[in-house]
Amino acid sequence: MNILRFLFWKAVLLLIVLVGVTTLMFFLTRATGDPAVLMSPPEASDAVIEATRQRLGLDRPLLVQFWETLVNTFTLDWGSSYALGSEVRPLVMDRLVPSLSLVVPALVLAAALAGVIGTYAALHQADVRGRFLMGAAFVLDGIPYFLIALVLVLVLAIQMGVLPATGGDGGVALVIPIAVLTIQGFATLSRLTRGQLIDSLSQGPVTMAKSKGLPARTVLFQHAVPLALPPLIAYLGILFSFMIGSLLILESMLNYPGLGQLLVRAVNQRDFPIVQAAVIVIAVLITLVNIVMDTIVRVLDPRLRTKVS
Amino acid sequence: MNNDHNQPPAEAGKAHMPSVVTEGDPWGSVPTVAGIEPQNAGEAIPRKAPGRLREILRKAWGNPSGRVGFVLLGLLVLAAVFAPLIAPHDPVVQTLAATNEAPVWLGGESGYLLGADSLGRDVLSRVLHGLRLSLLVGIVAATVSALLGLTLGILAGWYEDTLGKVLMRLADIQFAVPFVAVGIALTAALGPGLGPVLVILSVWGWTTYARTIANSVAQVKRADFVTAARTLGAGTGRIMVKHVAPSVLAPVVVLWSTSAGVLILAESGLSLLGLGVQAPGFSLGSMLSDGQVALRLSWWAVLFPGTALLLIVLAFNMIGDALRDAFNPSSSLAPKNPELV
Repeated sequence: MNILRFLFWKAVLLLIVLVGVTTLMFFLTRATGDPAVLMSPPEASDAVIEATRQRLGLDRPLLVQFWETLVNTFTLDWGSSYALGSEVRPLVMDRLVPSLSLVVPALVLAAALAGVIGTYAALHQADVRGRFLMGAAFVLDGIPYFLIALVLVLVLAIQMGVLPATGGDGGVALVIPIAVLTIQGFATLSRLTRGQLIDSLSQGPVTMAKSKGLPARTVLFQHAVPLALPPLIAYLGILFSFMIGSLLILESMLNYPGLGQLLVRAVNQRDFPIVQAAVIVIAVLITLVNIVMDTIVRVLDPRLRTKVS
Repeated sequence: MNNDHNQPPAEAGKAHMPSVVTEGDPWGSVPTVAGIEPQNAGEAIPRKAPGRLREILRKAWGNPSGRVGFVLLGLLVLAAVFAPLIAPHDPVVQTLAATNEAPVWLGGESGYLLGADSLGRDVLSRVLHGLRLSLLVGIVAATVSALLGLTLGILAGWYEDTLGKVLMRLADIQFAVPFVAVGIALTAALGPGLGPVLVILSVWGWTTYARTIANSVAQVKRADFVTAARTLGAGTGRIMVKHVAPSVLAPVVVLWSTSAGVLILAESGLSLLGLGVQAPGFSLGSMLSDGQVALRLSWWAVLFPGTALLLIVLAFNMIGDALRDAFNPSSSLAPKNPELV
């Protein structure tokens, strides 16, 4: 299967996700609340609510409305916020960059740290240092990320006073959330890196390279690492979605103005257009990142390019 | 339904990798499960539980870290069950004089072993009682999603070309939406509370199970003992329940243990946002939410429930790792259940 066909099917996947998530969100929100009531002030009379309903076309058949929502999702016309009255799209899009500026550095840092630590642990798997590192990673892996956040706030902000506890300007606000996401990500990733590398060190091409008498460094970087790498890259896509999930909670805890904080606020105000748009944006983001990772893996790994039966 | 190229790392690097990627199913971005390999053609048909299950449990118990996990979990469950007997105080009684009182070993004067929170409630008693709801939610949600996943996985494997394909696309869609996002969105619709959280935790987790067992089921469907059962007049439903389900029970149990910890954390996360259990009920997660605001004055009200959560997750992770090793000795360390969280 060539790369174009691969990408075509990935695009279809994206389409399915988009339609699926829109459908899910539409029926979830419609099943449980009447938008016309939610949009009107609490003291509004029935006539006012009815007028709102007609103005927004909410009196039409549900399927007509569903079709319209679907079309609007694709034409990027996401309606306006119940609570704020302003358009949803800029509200959501403005939050995207702040959130990504937490996840992307965290992902890069986690990958770099995990690469070093995982490789070290794989090469020293039998001795104390390697075992200690993996034991530490195992425990770190079990610590809930929000607990890490609270401990960091306690130590760095409250005890030592080097960082503001919540919010803060510019770069300072990024430190704690990035640290939390990095710690959470690298613990799992370094355990995986170690496992992958140990596996690949015993595989044919690598033992061949060793028996040819190539220097250890060459064997590791030219033969073992390329074998171990593709699944790890694919895992970065999964890690990305983990991190987004954690971020949704972290942002509210740390009062960081990202997508997660917007979503939680919108939920508390039952502001469905924002909830809907935020969830769709998150789903598209996760799918896109995973498609990119899969594509990289596919380009890197020659075994995936040919059909083997 | 073949597996796609995006296998979880623990499997993907294995020697059988090329065979996994063949048919070029370009679909799902979701890997199957962590470290549990779907039985591939050519491998022996899985042996039937409960024999296999018992063997796996015994092996996991023989593994030192597995044993530590079982003992730790056992202690936590005992503490939760007997919380009303061992808790030194009433967990909801507020003692004004003891507000933010430090633990007794840090100079607290009211004699609270782990201090008191910002409303003057005994932290130790609350941790013991909070364990109950947290463990209960995790175990119930993990069990419900395991049963759901088992059912859908069997159906997906049995009807691999029709229902199986539909279910796998549904799993793709679910993979794109993190657990927490759905949880948050659902509470927008239903209002906050333990109910909505429990529903979403139970419903969202089926995909991992289904993906893992669907292949084995498709395999078992063609096994001789199934043909034999059919020849003897057994109906499809009976075959699924009596013959297929037992043969895929072992991976389901392994997955159950890895997902319980993740689910408990998910509940805590949502409770932390105030979207989960509502006062006067409380779980370890909502204790963190309460304690967070007074972090400066009483860190013990956050750190101890947090430590309890850490112990739960470690216990489940240790058990999960040990079970996975017992189930599949060749698998290296695998990631957490990728479709949860």
